[in-house]
Amino acid sequence: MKTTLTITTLATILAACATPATSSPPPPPQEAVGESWIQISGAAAVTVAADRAMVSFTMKTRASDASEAAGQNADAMTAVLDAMRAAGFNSLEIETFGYALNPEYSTTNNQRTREIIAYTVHNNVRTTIEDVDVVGRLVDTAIESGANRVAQISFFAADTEDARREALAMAVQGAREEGEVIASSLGYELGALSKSMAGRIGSHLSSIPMFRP
Amino acid sequence: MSRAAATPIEARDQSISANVFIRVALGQELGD
Repeated sequence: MKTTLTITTLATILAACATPATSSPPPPPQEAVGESWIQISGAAAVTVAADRAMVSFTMKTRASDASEAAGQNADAMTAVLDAMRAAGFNSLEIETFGYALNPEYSTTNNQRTREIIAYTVHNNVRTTIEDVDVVGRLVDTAIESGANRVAQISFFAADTEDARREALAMAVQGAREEGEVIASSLGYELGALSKSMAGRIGSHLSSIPMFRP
Repeated sequence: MSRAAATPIEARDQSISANVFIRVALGQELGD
């Protein structure tokens, strides 16, 4: 499942030596008076092999009246869905979303007499598949059966909890090690942890937007 | 037109990142 582990640690001093001068304003109440500290940020990233792919297709049709545009779209989208189901992809999940019917107006300069010249219908289908090696064939199947836009292809891992915990632990360890370097450079040992805070924990989906003219 | 090859699309790995902030007290002075 997990193929590679890439750790990047980064630490910076955000503040140091909080010893207050006698004439300065009082320190924040949570800080011990006279205590010196360093604050460090740490970051780490763990790479997880993708075991899911999500591909979105759109069917766009256009006709002079709304009913005709909708009918053409229904026929075309049904053909796409039937073709994908018939292709026998394992664990293929299909859902439609974002159906829209819109009038298309003439582009004359007279704004008061805009005329409807056509209607366009969009319907979208989102597919999720566990076999990431057949995404190319899935795309081909949709296009060959009539889909006229491939909106997005994304790869992701279904379970990222272990990776998240691992990245968090590595980020803390990296920050701690940087803190030891900074403290010894200042001529001190590293003391006790006084505060910790988890920052942003994120995942970057790899995404390939694709468009067909 | 028939074609032999499927569109090649390679899966990419997912990156999970974490950021933390820690505040650590300075301990004893070295050499004490």
